Amino acid sequence: MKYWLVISVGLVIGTYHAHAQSGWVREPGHYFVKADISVFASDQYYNPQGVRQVTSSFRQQALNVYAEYGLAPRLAVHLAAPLVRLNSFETTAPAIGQGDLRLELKYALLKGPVPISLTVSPELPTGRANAAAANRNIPGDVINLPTGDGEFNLVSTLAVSSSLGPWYGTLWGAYNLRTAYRGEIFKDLWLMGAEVGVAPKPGLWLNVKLRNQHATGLPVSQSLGFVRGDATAFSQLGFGLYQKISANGGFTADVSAILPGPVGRVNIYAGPTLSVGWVWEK
Amino acid sequence: MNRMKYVWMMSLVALVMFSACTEEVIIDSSLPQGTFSVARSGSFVEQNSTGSTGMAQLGTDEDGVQFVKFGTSFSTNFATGTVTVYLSKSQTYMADPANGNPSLRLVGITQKGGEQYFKVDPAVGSEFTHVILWCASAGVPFGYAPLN
Repeated sequence: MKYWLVISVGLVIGTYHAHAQSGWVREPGHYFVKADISVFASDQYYNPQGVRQVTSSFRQQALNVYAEYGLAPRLAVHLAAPLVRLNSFETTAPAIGQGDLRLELKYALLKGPVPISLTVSPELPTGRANAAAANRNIPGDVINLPTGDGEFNLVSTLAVSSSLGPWYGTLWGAYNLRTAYRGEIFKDLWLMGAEVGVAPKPGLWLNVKLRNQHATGLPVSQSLGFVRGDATAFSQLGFGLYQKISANGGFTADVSAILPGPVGRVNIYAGPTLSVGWVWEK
Repeated sequence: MNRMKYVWMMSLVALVMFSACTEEVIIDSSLPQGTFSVARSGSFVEQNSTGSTGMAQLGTDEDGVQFVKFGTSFSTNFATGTVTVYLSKSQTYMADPANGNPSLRLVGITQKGGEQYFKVDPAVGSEFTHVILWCASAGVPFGYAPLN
């Protein structure tokens, strides 16, 4: 029942995902699939110095699929596929493309009342590393709004969870080892988060999530910074809902927002993300 | 024999004349004709960590056509795409589309560094005091150069 907590959508130009960080690993032969659509819009950009700028409104719509499958008593495989992304400013036509595909192997280090898991997640540069969006008002003017960051990266996540009655909680930490795009090196990222959920009645789950992301340095490369979301830092708070409709699925709704702190906003558009989805599970 | 020589000579003359008649002189009206005379100039001031640098000049060619010229050291951030170039009555991009943007004149779009010209037609007066580099899609200033 705790496994439905899955995806929110990347909401900066440089993509990131918030996956199912928990200590539990899906049982062998069991699966979980979620498809969702998400929308984001903001004109509040925090530049590499953390200074707020008002810009044209940046918009992102996405269609995502996320799946988990239990391979063995301690091992599950996950797949996160941003199938379609539409990035645009209010002044432009959208740049359309798929996002970066993420594969995950999740291993149960410890099972029982306080399970601990380790997840290793390579992310492949399957998205469009360059995607021109044409200005609607000025012929010939374009802006590069990639749907992928153009690099291979590897995220390692350690998570611990526990439950008590209708409540559960998770703490997790992750390191995103980033590589390079055309010889220019991205800053690695540290991530930490917590999640608390409750089932106030059978079939209904509510949760609240806090996520902090720190970069290992400031963005220095012009070609990586704004366009590819290098060294993005932020704190994000999200609320989620899952209402089961049948024994094998139901609908989800999530809302999240970038907070003023505790991590200062760097190189990010701050605004709300809304998503709705459908879950199939066994 | 003399007749043959005459025919050959006349053919050669005709060929030369025909070639001269069909030779085209292409005039690129987007570039200054003759000497470019600088009236006002200034250096770019970077905005938003875009690395904008170099010299902007406003002047006329020998036909009196007005141009903005960027010097060979001109550079800015092209990773985001193209950059629009405006003449402006201030260092700040002051849009007023309802009234036809009287404080701005779009003179061109650039996607490369180095020397380049932008034709200003019709010519602007002295009230246009700055060249502005502007990311038009995002609405972010990349830099400005005061014209002194």
